[in-house]
Parts: sequence; structure tokens; C-alpha cells
Amino acid sequence: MAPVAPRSGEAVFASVERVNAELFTLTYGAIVRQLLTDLEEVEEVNKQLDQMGYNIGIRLIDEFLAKSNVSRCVDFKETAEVIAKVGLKMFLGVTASVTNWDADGSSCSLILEDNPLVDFVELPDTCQGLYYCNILNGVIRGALEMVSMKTEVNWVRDMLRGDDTYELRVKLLKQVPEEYPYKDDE
Amino acid sequence: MIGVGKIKQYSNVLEKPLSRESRSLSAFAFLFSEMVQYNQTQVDNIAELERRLEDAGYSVGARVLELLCNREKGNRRETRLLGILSFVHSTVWKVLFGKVADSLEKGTEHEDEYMISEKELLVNRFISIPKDMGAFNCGAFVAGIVRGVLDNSGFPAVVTAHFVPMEGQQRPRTTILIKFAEEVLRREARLG
Repeated sequence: MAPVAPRSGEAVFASVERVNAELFTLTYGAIVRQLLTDLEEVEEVNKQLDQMGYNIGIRLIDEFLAKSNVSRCVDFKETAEVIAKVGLKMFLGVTASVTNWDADGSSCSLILEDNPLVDFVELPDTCQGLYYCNILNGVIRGALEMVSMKTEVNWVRDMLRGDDTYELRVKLLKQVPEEYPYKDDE
Repeated sequence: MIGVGKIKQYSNVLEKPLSRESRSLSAFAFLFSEMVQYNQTQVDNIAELERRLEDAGYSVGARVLELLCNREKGNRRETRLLGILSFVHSTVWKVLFGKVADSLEKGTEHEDEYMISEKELLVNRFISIPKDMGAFNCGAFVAGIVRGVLDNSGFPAVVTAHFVPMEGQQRPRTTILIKFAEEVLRREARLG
């Protein structure tokens, strides 16, 4: 069978089933609120959000690969483009732009103009250290780990903290070669 | 300081236009499953878990009510029982889940009970309950949303979600049972 061409983010997003954006945003808000009430320490909440995102990411990658038909990315540059244009579009309905590549191509910034998680959100003074969208870090990190890339993802700019846009810095730490659970010669 | 330094965005989050976009169902399903899993680690028993999901839903419901009153109803406030029930059954359901609820019924045994039924709740679509969790229903989240809407409209009620097995269907139907507080019925009787 001829290989199926990869679908654009728009095409995939148009074909998946959808839910109301507000339900999604409000549910995420309820989650953050629960975490703040339980954990009280903003750093703990950040860590927990990242962990939850990681759990989501390791499962999300399967669905992403199944629905989008992207072929194996040649290098990290392509990976970043695919995340920004196809991945984010497919799940969140927004795209990001990829900028600020560093010299050896291992680290870049994803700029989100539109962030669906933060509609209607303002951070009160008591939560100033909170990275509200930290779940995204975990999702990207988890998803990339399942395709053999160990990464570090951090927020550089966050509108809820007063910056002018959302900027995520994604840094490739190393490519882990795939390990098979069985030996070839057995 | 929030609001300082933003060039493109609105200075006040309330002035931002209400968007009408949608997100993917799987993104929501992943998020919801993480929420349930996180809450499972925080509780010892099922009743607590249901209560926590309900509380989460309550905060969603309160906000959805404000949003919808402004957008769909032109800031009109429901004062009658049937009015608020049909608001929940039609408008709220349509906005949140894309369709009106399957049915709205009045309880036969008690005056203060009403039931909204749904063949398959959106939140339960990708969830299966293990046998040892008995009657636990993640629809408690939706029950919380309904309670949030009702409570903040001035109709305090106890809202729970139940599975009702149906013949001929593999998955049981979900019923949201609404039991209104005394004062609501008295007020309704007074209004005639």
C-alpha cells in the first residue's frame, strides 16, 4: 500500500471530534484550582502540573502519530515545526511559531499567540510564582520522550505574569536510541 | 503586575471577546482522565472521590452560568423552577456538550426530584469503571456543573449522577438526579 501523505494540522483538526472550548478551559481551571487548594505551595503545583502533563504526553503521542500520519522527523528542527503546526493544532486548535534557534539546532522557542488554557484567567497576587500552563511542558516532554528524545521544556515568557506573549523554550538533551525488549538473534 | 507590558492583549481580561472556538475531544478526555487520576491519589474512598469531582464541576458550573446568562439569555435571570430546568437541559447542555440532554423528567416518588438523562455522558465516553469501584460515576463532575448552575441561580439542590441499566443497551444510561431544597419548592408554590 502506498504510504499515506501526512495531513496538515488544519485537516486533522477538522476531522477530529470536538468539544466546546469553554468546557475545556474551565475544566483546566478547575484542575489548577484543586491543585492550589490541596498543595498550597506554588512550586508543588507547578511540579504536579508538569507531571500530569507528562502522563498525558506519553499517551497523546500515540493518538497524534495515528491521526496525523507524519513520517519520521529528520531532525529536531522538523520535530519542533511538527509540534507547533500539527500537534498543537490537532489538540488545542491553535498553532505556534518556532523561533530563536540556537547555534547547534538543539534548542528553540515556541511562541503561542493564542493560548486556549488561559481564557478568562488572571493570576492573583498570592500565586505569582505559578506557571499556569505548566501542563503543556509535561505534555511536550512526555510525547517527545516516547519518540526517543529527551527534552527539557521551560516557560520563558508568560502573559499571566505580565509578558506580552507565551514563549516555551524546548531544548533537546539527547536522542535515546530505541531499545527492543527482545534480542534479535533469539 | 498583571496588565503592565502587554502590547497586543487587552488590559482587562473581562474585555477580551468571548471566543466561539472548539478544542479536540481527545484533549479534553486526556485532561479529564488526569483529573480523575489525580483525585484518586488524594482520597481513600469512592464517596470522597465523587465529592471532589463534584466540587470541581461546581466551579465550572458557576462560571458557565455567568457566561451563558450574558451570551445566550441577554442577562435575564430565571426565577421559575421549570425555567431553570429547561435552561440546564437545553442551553447549558447544548453549549457544553453540543446537544440538548436526552430527557428531562419529574420524579414520580418525590415532589422535589427531577432527572436529566443522557445515553452516554461526554465525560464518561472514554472511561470504564473497574468492578471494585462499584457504583462510582465520573458523571459526578457533570452533576457538579449542574449544581453550580442551579445554586448560583438561586435554586439550591443536591445533585448526583447515577447509572441506570437499560435493556437492549450494553452501556447503562446516566441519570443526573436533582433534588431541590425545601425553600425552592416553597418559593415555587408561593409564586403559583
